[in-house]
Amino acid sequence: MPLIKRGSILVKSFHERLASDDFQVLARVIPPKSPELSSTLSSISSWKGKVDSLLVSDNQSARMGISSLVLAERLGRDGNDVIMTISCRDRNRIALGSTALGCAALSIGSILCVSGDHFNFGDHPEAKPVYDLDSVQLISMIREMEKGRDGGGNALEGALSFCLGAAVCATADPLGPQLMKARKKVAAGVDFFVTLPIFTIDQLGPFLDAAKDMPVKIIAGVLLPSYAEIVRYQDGSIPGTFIPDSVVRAWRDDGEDDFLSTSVEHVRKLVSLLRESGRVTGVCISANGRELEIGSLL
Amino acid sequence: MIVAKLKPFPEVKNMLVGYSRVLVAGCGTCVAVCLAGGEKEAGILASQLMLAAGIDKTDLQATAATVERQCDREFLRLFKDKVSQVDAVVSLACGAGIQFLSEEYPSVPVIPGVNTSFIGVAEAAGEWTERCRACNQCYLGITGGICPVTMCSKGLLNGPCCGTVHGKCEVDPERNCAWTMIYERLDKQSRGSLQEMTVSPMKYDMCRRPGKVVHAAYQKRFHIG
Repeated sequence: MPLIKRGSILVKSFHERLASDDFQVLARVIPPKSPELSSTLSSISSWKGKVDSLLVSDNQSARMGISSLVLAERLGRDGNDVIMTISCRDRNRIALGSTALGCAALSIGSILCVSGDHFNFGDHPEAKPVYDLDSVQLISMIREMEKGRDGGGNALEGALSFCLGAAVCATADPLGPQLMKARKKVAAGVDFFVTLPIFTIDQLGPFLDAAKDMPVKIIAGVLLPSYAEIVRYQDGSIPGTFIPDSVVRAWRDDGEDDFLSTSVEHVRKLVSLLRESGRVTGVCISANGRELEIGSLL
Repeated sequence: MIVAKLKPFPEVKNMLVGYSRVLVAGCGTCVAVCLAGGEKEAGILASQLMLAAGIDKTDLQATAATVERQCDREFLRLFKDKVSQVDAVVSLACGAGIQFLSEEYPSVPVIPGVNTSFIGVAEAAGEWTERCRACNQCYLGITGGICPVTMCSKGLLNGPCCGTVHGKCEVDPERNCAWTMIYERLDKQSRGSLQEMTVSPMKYDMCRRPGKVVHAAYQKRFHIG
């Protein structure tokens, strides 16, 4: 994997940092519902020097946005290290394979393979879900593509090599079925996991204990939620996200104005605790609509 | 069995505008069991159409007749005399029966009186739930008798998504997560090793639509093989 050129200096790519166990900070970029990228680029401008890699979402939460590949290409051109998310929800195996080829052509070396939130949560509830492959099968297919065969067994030209990741819900209850699938993802050849958001370091413990023998790097997901999300929060209202009662109560008691500052402080402390814990190799910060604040909390 | 629901009456009535003699054709098997399209429902729908015609002061005569199955030509032919006396038929069979009836009597408009919902089971009196998508490659032998294609909202073949909520589906909190059920069922049957088995992508070339099955004993008759 080549070094990434940022201005006049060369920095390590996500894959290299992962290999060297350097703690790294990822932040999620949501493709806008617009052909104009300027407001998205402006909302993340304060991240420069604070965020190591950008994780580009793929029609996040089943809400239609501009092609993630287009946004990823633009971010890469601006000198950012980019990780692509590829969701099985919106593409069959042919389109998934062609997206992976597109990543390679654009020198995007890292892909997060996800099944994708159901359309019920998005803005096209009447759409037809695809799920031709699941995330385990997508990982397997891309690994086969690296060996020169596409999803239909046909020969590919040119070399491919990816650092592949997958999502995991570390706070799932029961945890057993999640671990079962996590083991399949590892067997399929995944290099790293990004957990769904956690809100206290204790929430990660049982998963980390169970996954300690898995030969993958684990990046903890962290969410800077909106006040509206907290007001209407109940288990299941944000897919795969479980906020402890004590945290929800405290944030609701704060009221909106105080919440904006206490939530930033909460995430800042959590990132710091995760860094000090030595149990994860990084964090991935999401901020649905509060992207401007990510720069200030790091 | 195939489960169906009666279409809203205004929808059926609107599709019959312009026809004055209508046969409501019931089906005595699956749709009769699920109280959507059997003899009783056919009679009620014919009466409703007559009542509505009286209120609307339109000229419509509706009669009802039911056969054992509309998915079998032998039974469909029993409708012959009745169909010859009407200018439209409302079929209360499943989508298969409706098409077969239309195929048998192609010069007469056949209008669906039900929406066909799924292949399912009777949970209790008046309640039916889906169990099978007819994918032509049954996985039930390795999934503890619970179909991930049907019972998982996303049809995932290798485990739950990240959205499962305390054993319930992220899409519908009233419904159990299929993969939590599969995991627990395999545990209960001491077949935990199947939990580790990675399932390959579904072979859609095995379930091309429309499907066709010819029994081995009949292949010669149909010039197959």
